[in-house]
Parts: sequence; C-alpha cells; structure tokens
Amino acid sequence: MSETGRCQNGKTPITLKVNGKDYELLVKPNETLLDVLRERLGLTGTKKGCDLGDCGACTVLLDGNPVNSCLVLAVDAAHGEVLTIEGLAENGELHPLQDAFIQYGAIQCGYCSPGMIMTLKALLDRQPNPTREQVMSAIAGNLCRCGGYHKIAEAALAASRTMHGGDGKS
Amino acid sequence: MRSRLPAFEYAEARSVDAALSFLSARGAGAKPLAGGTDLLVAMRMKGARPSALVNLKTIPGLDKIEGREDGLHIGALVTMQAVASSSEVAREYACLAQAASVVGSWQVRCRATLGGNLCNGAPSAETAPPLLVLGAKAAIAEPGGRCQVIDLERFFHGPGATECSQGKLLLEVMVPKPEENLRTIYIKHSPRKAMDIAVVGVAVALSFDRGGHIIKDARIALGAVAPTPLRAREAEESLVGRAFTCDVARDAGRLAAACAKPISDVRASAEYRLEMIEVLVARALTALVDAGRGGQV
Repeated sequence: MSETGRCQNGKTPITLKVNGKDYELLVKPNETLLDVLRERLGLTGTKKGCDLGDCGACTVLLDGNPVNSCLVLAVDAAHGEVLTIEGLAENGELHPLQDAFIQYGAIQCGYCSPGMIMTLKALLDRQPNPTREQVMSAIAGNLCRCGGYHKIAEAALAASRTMHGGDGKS
Repeated sequence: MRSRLPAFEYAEARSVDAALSFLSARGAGAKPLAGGTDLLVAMRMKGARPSALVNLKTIPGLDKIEGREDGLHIGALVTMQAVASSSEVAREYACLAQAASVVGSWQVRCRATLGGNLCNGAPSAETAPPLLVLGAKAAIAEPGGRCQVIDLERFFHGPGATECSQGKLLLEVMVPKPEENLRTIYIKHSPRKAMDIAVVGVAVALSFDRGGHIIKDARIALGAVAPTPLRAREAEESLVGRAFTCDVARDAGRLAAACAKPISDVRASAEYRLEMIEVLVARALTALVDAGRGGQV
C-alpha cells in the first residue's frame, strides 16, 4: 500500500472477516457492509430498515462493538471482525439470548430481532448483570415497530440470568 | 428501499500528511471520512456528493485519550463511546462524558468521532458546549506540515462551517487540567430521550471560593441556539463574586438567553428555545450547587 492506499478500477480487493470466516471480495467503495453481508454473502439475517442509522435493524458487532452496518463502508469493515446473527449459535446451540427471545415471546414480526439480539449481546458481554434501565438504554437505537420492548427487556434479563448458571426464570 | 450511496473515489490515509496531500490534490470535492455516521447519511438524504473520500481511521495514533501534565489530549478519531466511557474524562471533565453519552444511539456512538462531531459544524454538536466551558483548544494540521493550536471558540464559523472546512484536519482537542473544585454539567434538552439532536444544549462549569459560598469562576456555553455553539459571557460575569441564590441563577439564565440567536425549525420555535435557555441554565447551576453540598449531579 502507498501512503494513501487507493483502489484500482473502482474496485478494491478486501478480506472481510465475518463470523470467524475470511471472505475474499472485490467491492466498490460505495458498498455498505450491510449490502455486502446480505447481497454478496447471502447473510440475510441482518435486516435493512431505514438505511440511515436510525432503526438499528442492521446492527452487527464490529470488533465487539454494536454498529449500524448501513453506515459502515465494506472497505472500512475489512479492518475489523464482523459478527452477525448467523454467527451467534455455537455447535447448533442457540445463544441464550436467542433462546430467551423465543421463550419470552420477544419476537412478533421479527424484523428488529437480529439487531436487538446483537446489541444485547454486546451489552451482556460488557455488563453480565444489567438492570432494566441499562437494557432499555442499550437498545435505544433499535426500533421495534410492534412495540414489543417490554418482552424484549424481559428476554434480555432472563438471558443474563441463564448465562450466570440459572435457568432463566426469576 | 433507498438507493445506493453515490459513487466516489476512496483512499485510506496512513499519515496526516498523506491525507492532506490527497485532499489538496482532489480539491473541493474531496472529504475526510471519520466515523461516517453523519457523512453517509448526508450522502443518502441531503444530496452530499463528495467526489473522493479519504479514510482517516487508518492513520495511527489519532484515536487515543492521553492525560498529560497540561491536561487531557483527545485524538480527533476517538469515538463518542470512548469519550463517554473513559474514567479519566468522567473523573475530571464530567460534562464532556455526559454530552458524549447522549449522542445518537450506542451504535452511532461506537462509530461517531469527537473530531467528526466538531468538524461537521452543527450548532447542536453535543460535545461543543462542554469543551467550550472547559477551555479546550484544537490542534489543526495544515498542508505543508504546519500545525496550529487555536481556542476551540474560534473553531466554529457558522452552520456547517469550521476552521477545518477545507483542506485542514483536526488532529486533537486539548482540555486543560481543570482547577480544583471545578464542577461541570451538560444538560441536553430534546423531546426524545434518545436518537435525537438537542433543541437546546447547556454546559456549565462552576467553582466556589474556599469558604464555599462565593462563586469564583463560572462558565456557560450554549448549543443549538445560534449559528455556532457559544459562550454566554454576560451571564458568566453576573455570577462571579456573588453568593448563589435562586435569583442569581435566574438572572444568569436571562442573561444567557440574551446571548443567543436561535432559529425556529421543525424541532422548536426560537421563542421556546429562549425560554428553555433560562430554565436550563438556572437548573444546571442549581444542580452543581446541590452536587457541591453532597448531592449527585
């Protein structure tokens, strides 16, 4: 790379790390991480809502931090590691958050769920025992058009209890 | 479904000099890219059409918060989340941590940078009023390797216009070590609790003399109520040397409102903003005095 690494022929070769796997891709600078995940890699679990960073449906973790993938250029994301909803389950076992969302009916239409779960995963990674207020403040950037925030918070708190060795019931 | 981002040339800078050379070679159409949380939205929604973007996040060293003898040095590429969660910022510069923690959403704060917040030149930039009351300075790199340090107050020229609007780069913000017992607060007023920009932003820094009764130093800065964030100097002067009372706080609020030149827009009318300055300045002063008596801000 030169002093300013530049793309050639309008496309840049990148290695995108997603869910522990390396993808070699040729992308245009104006392709967002969201579009590359959905349309190039077929990872359609990450949803496109507003495409403006308002709704949070496209939330993925970039180096462990929740980000709106519609506001991250794919060329830029290649500097980090991406985790999407498809990468949460391990060895066929759902993540406790995914289990809790099902158990507590925290999913209605389901469109916000992947983004919600990714934001909440980032929260529980940092704060294993969040209060309800911390949960609500963490998901302030995730819109649920069904208005299911109450059950989403219940599910998040249950998942945090499960992850501490409990059975998820209060 | 929205259309794709318009096309642009893209480069990743490895050094400040390389970024400046790229910007000057490409001319007015080239823009620096930091967090992108404002720029990409402007490109989708507001017709921004940069011909080229140079990514600054690939320049090493601009994303550090460093406490030095003269104060806190915050790199322009430090994210809002890093400012909001830094124990160093929270300990001595509370109003700045408070402001950074109410920008956008968590997702936005993880990308948005301090430099981007300031360089966008939004009158409502959350971090501007706190930095103004803290007496911050901006270090700016110019083409040819020169670097100048200016008072942040001189950084803002108008809506969307700053000292760094064309061909210059903000490197870091330096916040001087606060005098002992300086207490600070930032209050954001907006209709929504999150994901909104301020209708009025008020930052106040206050210290008392040794007896704890007479105001020794007072600084007040306002956001979203004039073409740029600004200090309310008449209001500050009205406080210094006086004992704190509710009337003193109310007077300061009225004087602060007199410094503002708000507009009416979709978020609030100019009249409402003026009223809210009075209310919020008095509220901020009272909260700081209460905190000094052992309460919490």
